[in-house]
Amino acid sequence: MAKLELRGVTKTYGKTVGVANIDLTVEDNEFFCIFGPPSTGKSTILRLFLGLETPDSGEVCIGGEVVNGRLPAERDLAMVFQNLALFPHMTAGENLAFPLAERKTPKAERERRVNEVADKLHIGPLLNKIPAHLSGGERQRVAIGRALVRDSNALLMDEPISALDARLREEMRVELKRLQREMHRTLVYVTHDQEEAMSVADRLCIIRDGGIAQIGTPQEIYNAPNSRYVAEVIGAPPMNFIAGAIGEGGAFSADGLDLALTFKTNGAAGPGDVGVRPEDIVIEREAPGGHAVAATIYEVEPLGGFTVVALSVGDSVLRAQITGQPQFTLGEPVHLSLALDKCHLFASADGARIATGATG
Amino acid sequence: MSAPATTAKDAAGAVDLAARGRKLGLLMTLPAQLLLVFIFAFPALMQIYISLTWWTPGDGTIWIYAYESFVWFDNYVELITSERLWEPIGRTMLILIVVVPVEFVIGFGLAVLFVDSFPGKRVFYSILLTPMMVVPAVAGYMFFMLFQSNGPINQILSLLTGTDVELVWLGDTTLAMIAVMIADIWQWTPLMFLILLAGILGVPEDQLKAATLLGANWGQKFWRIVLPRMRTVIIIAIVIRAVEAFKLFDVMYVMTKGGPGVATETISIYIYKLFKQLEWSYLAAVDLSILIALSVIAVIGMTLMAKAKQKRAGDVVD
Amino acid sequence: MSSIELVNLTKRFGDLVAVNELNLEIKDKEFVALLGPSGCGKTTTMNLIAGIENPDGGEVRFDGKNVGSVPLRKRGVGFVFQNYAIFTHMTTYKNLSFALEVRGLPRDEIDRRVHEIAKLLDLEDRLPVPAARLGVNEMQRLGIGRSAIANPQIFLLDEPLSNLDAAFRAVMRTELKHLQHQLGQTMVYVTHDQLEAMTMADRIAVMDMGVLQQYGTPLEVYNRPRNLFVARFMGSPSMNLLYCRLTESDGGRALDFDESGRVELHDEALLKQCASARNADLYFGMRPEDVELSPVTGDRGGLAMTVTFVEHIGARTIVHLRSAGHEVKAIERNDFDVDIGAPMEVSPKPGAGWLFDAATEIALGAG
Repeated sequence: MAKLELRGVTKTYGKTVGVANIDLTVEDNEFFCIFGPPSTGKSTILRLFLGLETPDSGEVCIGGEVVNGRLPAERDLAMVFQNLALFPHMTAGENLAFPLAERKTPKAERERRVNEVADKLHIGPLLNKIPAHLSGGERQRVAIGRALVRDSNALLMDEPISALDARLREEMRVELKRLQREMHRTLVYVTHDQEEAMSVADRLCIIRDGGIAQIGTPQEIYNAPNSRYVAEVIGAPPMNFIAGAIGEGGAFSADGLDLALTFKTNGAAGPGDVGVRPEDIVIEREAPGGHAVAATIYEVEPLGGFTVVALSVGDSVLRAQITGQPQFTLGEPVHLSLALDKCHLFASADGARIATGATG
Repeated sequence: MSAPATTAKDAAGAVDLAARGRKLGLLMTLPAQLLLVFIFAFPALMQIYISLTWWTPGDGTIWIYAYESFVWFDNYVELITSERLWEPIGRTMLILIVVVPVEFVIGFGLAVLFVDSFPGKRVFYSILLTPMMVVPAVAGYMFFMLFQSNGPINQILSLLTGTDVELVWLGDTTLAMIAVMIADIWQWTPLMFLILLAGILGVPEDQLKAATLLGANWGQKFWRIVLPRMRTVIIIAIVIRAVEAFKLFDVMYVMTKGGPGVATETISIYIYKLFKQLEWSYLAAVDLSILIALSVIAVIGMTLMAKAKQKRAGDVVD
Repeated sequence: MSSIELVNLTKRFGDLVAVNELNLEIKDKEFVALLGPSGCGKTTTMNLIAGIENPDGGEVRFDGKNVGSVPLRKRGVGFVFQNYAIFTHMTTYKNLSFALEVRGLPRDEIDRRVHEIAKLLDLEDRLPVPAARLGVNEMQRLGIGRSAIANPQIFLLDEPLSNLDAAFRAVMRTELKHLQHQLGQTMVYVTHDQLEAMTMADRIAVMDMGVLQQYGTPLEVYNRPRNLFVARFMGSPSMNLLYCRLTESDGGRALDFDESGRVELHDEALLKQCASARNADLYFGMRPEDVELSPVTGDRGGLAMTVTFVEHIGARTIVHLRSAGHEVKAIERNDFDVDIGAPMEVSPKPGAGWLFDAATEIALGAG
């Protein structure tokens, strides 16, 4: 297993920028997740590691060595593509054995490894079937098995489970995490599903427009996003933002709302936004006094285990997430209070986070 | 993959895999490219060469020595001023102007009928395509017999009108033109039909469904959705047919040999006559000029197509 | 007035019965979701309502009248396709005005209404843009606007949010629901995403293999699933379903989970369900958010299980537990943490739990 690095890598396609001057390190044995909306450069990063693209500038390193000049076959990486790319004319067993057969591994060793991987992925009884006779979930596991069968430097996966239905996806992400741990592999995993990214990653890298917005553990990214973009893109329902102005001594006053909070800023001033996650908003029917804000119920979305309540506050709509199934009527006047220690202050100009944790 | 990369290459940095691919592709298609050059470029150069001379095989020498009778652009000047040349061109254009629209309309009508399935569709399909598959010379002879003074066409007309119809189709200058046009329409409408059918089927079905759900009737769907989206295909169909029409030869030669007199002599028949009269250098010049003219038409057609495509893709064309 | 009634509706494609004797009534101004996995017949049902397909059996009625003979273009229903089917060779304006132009309305009226709806859907500055150049989110709004402009009383949407990115989907869910309230139309919405159905629908029709599984409000379908299929389909993560046996215990009933343990039944609703039990083999259903985890003490009357996995996904934590023959997922708060391998006692929160007959897979007491 090896460390993967990109040092100052830029790759453009004509006028479009794939990635711009990025530095990235994937540690040995790490489950490293790359997250971002479609067409932002996630797949480009995988292709640069693999060698399907050559960088315009910068270095691609595997295990500390610069591999820019090496062909994909020489880099010893295993890949699972989004469309799986299973060989349709071979059985599952033959698909699994293919990487080993290509490298002329002796037959006995080949069989041992195929059976080992098939066992781990619970696809033993399927080895004699061709992909056309397998279900979507089974095909996925064969594709993953094919990548696992060799002791490659690292595994790369490009949205491997996005085509499965919701329940299978929930199961498979736990399986993948377990496999990665048990087999001690370095895994670079691309996804656009934020819940999936949070669940599986040891470290998470948020990509924006070909550049890195933030890298950190899922908890770090969730609780301390360094920019408004990262805060918006991780967490569902997404974080609420209240626009306003930052004044003397970190005093924030909201536009059009009766809300005033104080943050520990270092003299920053100007337009700012306060971000607060839906689960950090509390709805009260009576005004508890102090810093509660008046609001009316805009929509109620009962999701079973919890309820998302959209509230009309001034000109904007905020969403609160409440456990259980509370009853509200549309248009009902209520009061909101915010969990102050969870409020973030962002600068409106560049979206950077200025402070977290307010006092009333 | 071939041998592993050397250390020198690694140190140098990027090996452009795409460039490698291109070079390999070039090498692999080299034989085919050479063949094309030989088959196409060589005769073309030869033709240009001859067209600048006054050579004919009657001189007794082979074509390489044509330079002995260099006349430069005399041939071209003659063809531009020669009445004898412009008559066939005029006739060809007349045929074109009549046949192409007729074939277009009939072909389009048939294509529309064939969009949805109906019983026996496959059978009708084969029947419709038969004219295209008949050997043109055979088709020519068939029409030759049909249009005889005592032939089936006159007999049918007699039955329909109740009088004795004895038109001398192939002997009358106007009637011969009409007969030739009918033959062409018979033979080439299926092509229009095929191209236009493909175009109609290329219109996304769900957009048509959406239009129906929005309340559009058949006519509105046709004008607002089907036709606009077929712009490219329609241009292709017309350009192909127009260019082909210029080359009309087989059917017509067998039917009329260009007669009566020169009443149905198209440009191709005229060129053939030049060939038989061994005026090969003049022929070369005429041929090249037509090639250039047709290329211009094709280029105009392609530009129109590109514009239509751009407009659909959403870019504004000035 | 525009209620929809489906009476014994059937549709076959060759040997496959896509919709099987479906009976469903949708009230005027109601927002109903047709929910189910792919191939369950939901899209076919909607096509039957719109008139894109014709039924092999049964009737589609609008306001009590059979509309089977009404041709497609006269049914007056708005339809939004899954891939929007925007007229890509026209501008946004022309797409919006299409429905009114084919009706021959005067130009200035058309113009007024196009601007009105463009404003409502935030597309005003995109009106002269060729529709092919719009972003996915804008195309979706255009797809809705194009149908909405003709003021149809019935609006049908075929998985309209499936192509959008996750963040925008959350926003559009709220907006669609709000729009439906404002415009007062009857809306039928096809989706395979149970979250979407729960969020937006007044009532959900859960379908599988052409057959209606359950029809009720989101909370009814969620809290009181009629069978195992509905129980598994609703909720993310899905409901825990544990195989057990009904037995007697001193002074009452209990559920025996073999080696995992035993749970005494004190809850009234559960006891009532037990009264209609025909045999002792049951499934005990427990939603992940209703699972209580506590350190093993032995006196809470729960199941002994071991933690196998912990997922921290932002606002919540999902804990996976296992014991001999049973698996459970529990939802805990953001800051909950526990080691893999730790033993825990698993019990349902008071008032939670729902029983199913293991053989018929139908909830007890549901008939």
